[in-house]
Amino acid sequence: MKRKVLALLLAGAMACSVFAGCGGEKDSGNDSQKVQSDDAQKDETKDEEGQEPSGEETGDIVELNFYYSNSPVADQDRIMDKANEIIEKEIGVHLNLIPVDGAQYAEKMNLMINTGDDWDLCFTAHWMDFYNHTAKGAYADLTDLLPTLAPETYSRIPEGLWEGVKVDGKIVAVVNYQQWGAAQRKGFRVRSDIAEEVGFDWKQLEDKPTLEALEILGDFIGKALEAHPDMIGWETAQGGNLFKSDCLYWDMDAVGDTEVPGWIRLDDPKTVINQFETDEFMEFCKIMRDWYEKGYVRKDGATVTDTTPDRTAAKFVAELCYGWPDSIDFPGNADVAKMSMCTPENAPAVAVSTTRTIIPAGAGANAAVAVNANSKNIEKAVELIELLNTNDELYMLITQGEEGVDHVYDEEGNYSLVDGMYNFNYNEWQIGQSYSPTFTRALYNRNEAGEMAKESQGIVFEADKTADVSPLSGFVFNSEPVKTQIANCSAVIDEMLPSLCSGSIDPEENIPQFLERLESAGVNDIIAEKQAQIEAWMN
Amino acid sequence: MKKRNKAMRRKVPLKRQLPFYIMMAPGLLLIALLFYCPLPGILIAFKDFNPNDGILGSPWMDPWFKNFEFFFKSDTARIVTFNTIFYNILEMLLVTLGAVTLAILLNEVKGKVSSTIYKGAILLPTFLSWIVIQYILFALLSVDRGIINNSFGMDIAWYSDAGYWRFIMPLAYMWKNIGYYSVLYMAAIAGINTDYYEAAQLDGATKWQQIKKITLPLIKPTIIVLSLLWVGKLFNGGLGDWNAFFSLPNNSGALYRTTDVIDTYVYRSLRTLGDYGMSTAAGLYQSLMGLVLVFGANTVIKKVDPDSALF
Amino acid sequence: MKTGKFKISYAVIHILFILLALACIIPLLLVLGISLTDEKTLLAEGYHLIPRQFSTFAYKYVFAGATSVIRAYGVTIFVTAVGTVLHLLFMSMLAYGLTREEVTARNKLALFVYLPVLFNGGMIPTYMMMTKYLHLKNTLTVLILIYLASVTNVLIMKNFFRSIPNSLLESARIDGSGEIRTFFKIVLPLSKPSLASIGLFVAIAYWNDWTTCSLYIETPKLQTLQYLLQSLMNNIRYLQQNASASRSMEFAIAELPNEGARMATCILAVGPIILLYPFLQKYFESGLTIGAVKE
Repeated sequence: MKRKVLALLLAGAMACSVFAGCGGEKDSGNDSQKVQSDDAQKDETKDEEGQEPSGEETGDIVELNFYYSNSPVADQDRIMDKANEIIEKEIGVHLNLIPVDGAQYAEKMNLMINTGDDWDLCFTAHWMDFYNHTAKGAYADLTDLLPTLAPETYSRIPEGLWEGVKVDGKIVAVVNYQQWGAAQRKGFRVRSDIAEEVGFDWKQLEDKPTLEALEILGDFIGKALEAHPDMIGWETAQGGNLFKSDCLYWDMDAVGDTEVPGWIRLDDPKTVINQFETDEFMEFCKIMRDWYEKGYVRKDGATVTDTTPDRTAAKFVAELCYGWPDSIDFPGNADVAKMSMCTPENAPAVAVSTTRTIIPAGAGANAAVAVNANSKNIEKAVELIELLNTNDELYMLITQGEEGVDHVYDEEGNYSLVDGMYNFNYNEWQIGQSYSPTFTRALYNRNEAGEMAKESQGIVFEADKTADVSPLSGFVFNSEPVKTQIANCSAVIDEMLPSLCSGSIDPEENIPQFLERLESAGVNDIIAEKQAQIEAWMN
Repeated sequence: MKKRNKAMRRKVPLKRQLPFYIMMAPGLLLIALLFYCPLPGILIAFKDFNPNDGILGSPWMDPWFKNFEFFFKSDTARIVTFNTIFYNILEMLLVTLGAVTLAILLNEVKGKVSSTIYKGAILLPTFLSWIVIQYILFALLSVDRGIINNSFGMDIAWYSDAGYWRFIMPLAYMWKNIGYYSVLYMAAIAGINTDYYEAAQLDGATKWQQIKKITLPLIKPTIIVLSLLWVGKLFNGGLGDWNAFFSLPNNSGALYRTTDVIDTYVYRSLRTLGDYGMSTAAGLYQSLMGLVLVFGANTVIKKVDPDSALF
Repeated sequence: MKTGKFKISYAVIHILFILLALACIIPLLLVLGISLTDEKTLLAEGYHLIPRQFSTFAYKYVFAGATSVIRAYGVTIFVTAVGTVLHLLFMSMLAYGLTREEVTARNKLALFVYLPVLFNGGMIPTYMMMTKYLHLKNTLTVLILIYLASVTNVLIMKNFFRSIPNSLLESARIDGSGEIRTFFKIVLPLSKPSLASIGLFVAIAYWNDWTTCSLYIETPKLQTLQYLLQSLMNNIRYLQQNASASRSMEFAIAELPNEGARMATCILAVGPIILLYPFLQKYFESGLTIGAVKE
């Protein structure tokens, strides 16, 4: 028996060595040929069905594969044929813009990078493996290429943002500067009609620390729910909470990935702390517990993945607000005058910002385009980035389709997308800079509201030039030495954080347990490693 | 038996064997290609893998077990290992028991229309993917909008109490798979010669005696083969049918104590790291456990009933 | 007395199966019900089997992007049909060879076939093989190839072939039939029930597969139905989790179809199998009764 197993393993190993033995040969030997001939019939069908042209050069035209995340896009060929006419004429490149499903994107890019697959450009972000991939050297160094081959792309962006995409002083990705700006100032949004109804002075929230603001909001929500018992006070969901990615609400910033323990206070950037050990975390969870018991939040908040039905039905009394200027600085700012996913008619709102204005460390890599370090056409890829960022006609074509066909303007100048036609699903920020000084790279309503949106966004861009930059900008955490600990902490956090932050479990009892488990998972090693790397970086 | 084989082996000329080898060739090649060719990937578990050097060229981990550390150092390694084995064996027993019972009972339903309807109905869930079942389950168990809470006027937070899921998981698994397995067992029962039953009836055997003395012994090999394969397949690191465990609990942290299996735990731990070395290591650990279970089971079977042993 | 007892036990069996059948059918009807319920009612009143407020909006929505759904049907049906036939052909030939005593190396080969049940090399080598060496990205071939072999099915078939009486094959040989001819003319027809039941489940595996599509298919032309479904179901969570990355995300989330539309897609994905099932089952049944092997 034993001998048989051994012999078979050997036979098996021999079979695979044909394929993996040297790893360099194009042909995997008889196996593949056999299968291919078995499948010859299907290959014919495949050709009929049409095949993505493989990255070979045809004449002078260079093929570039650009991966980004998007849901399936209807009618993509029509638009891309038109777009490629422009691109081929301008820089002699044929662009294959390849959408990968959002939920699969991180895994797919990770796989492609780890297997050395054929890609030229890709969307990347710090919340999506940017740091892991840069640590592996997957992205090309663009420091010298950008100023020469993409001058406008390079100069348009505030200097501070480039720090966010640098590793060891080298730029490894191009910032997709968005029409929303980069400087952040966060706050809260409340239903203005209900505030008026119950006599709530929302302006008092201004500049309040988050805990205090939440206390004030708690009173308001209580009154609001008395008057409207079918509403929900506050959104709780499994995916997001104030201690997952919103460091700014706590006047903190994350060292590396926001989900890994180890943040700093903006006032004391030299000391790495475990954000879950802070008083803020305990107090926040207590407030949430209180709200949970009073019925201000959904009972299943820890497990809800999709809150869109509640949002579109205008169920929430108050919510987080990432957009600014707020309703005090810029009265009538239409961007913030309605609750998320609602209309000003069914859920009028006012926003008030509470945090400082800052460009966080992750802002640069919040949305960026990287070039494959192994690509044969790195320079062409940078040229393509410049073209996408400067040719507004091309950019608008790809991101919005054709006017009159895919989107239309009504008599009042409001634009809308046409059902069932080409639809980029609002992913314009993944393939290039949606900002330009002339505001021609996003669809604005052709009326007063549209002009107002431009004006309010203009304020953010002014701020971008002068805003404080997080003291951590330019620091990249190398997670290699504490991978084991990060893996174990991630699992613990995933398990307990949503329940704590949605109030479904008692914080007094469970936070000590949570911290204990984090400790045995090695959280202290992570903090110490972050601390050491920060100190080395600062000196 | 062995002697006869040996005698035959010498006698059969290659020319007579050739047609069989021709027939087997595509299948063997497919198995070599799809299952054996990727095997060197197991080495990644011991390597500091980086794409530029490839699987063989990447440096070895130092110490060699470093990729395994994260799993064994975690406080949940024991729980998820237990869950993996527990659900694996429990579901195998439940589904086998249920499916054999259903197959025998269905065989007793003589009405053609009714038996067709029953078979069709119990097979339906097999066609659904787990993601659809996740939605169905959510529609049933949602706290505020769920059918169960609404119709019985209850307020049970199903997705927050891990205790319920020790029952919900196996139930859901049975619901989806029992139809599939009963069809397989029915095919086995249909293959039994009716003469046996006729003879038994002449001897005055009751239904129960017929089942015990004829049906069960004759489908025993099928039962053993399917069960052993089940154990092996589920432990096939990363490729086992753990989709149920990914989908059904709706990522609810409160349930992990009873719903986490090795695959889901590893997936969650490495989500932010995307480290293939560590995930391959965990997969290998899972495979080794499967290997031990299958060989163990096979040894037992060999002692009890040598003819049914897998190898 | 005896007949009375008999009847009671039959009644019990029928009641048991009626309950089981209901337990299996009702959840699917629930999905149908949700897909036909008005979205607002769904929110206000929760899930119900029978729509409180009937609406076909969800289906209209899904079919607004009709070209992609119809094309996905085409791809899925083609892959399922070709894949199932080839799978049955290759695996049954292999299983048959493994049962023949003439094949002297059959025990060794059998172990070679069984061992992979326990190990797999993981995603990286498989992906490399498919893309770098076989160049199968964006082909129908990869969607078919990936499920062409199954150890489980070889074993099930092997068990079945073993029960075919040797005398039958001997007499064919004496009549001068070649081994391959014997296999196709005598063995395969006898194995209809086994092949039908295995074939059904191979078909389901192909039909429900979406991971292969998500890894290897990059052109919308070759996307499968389950991939579209999966994409609808999964993207919401992903978008909500990362909503702070760009304010455009909020618009993107609003673009996603609502619950009703997702349910409608579920129905469209399982619908064909359910409609086809009565016909399949007929064939299935006849295979079971006619083809069953008597030893």
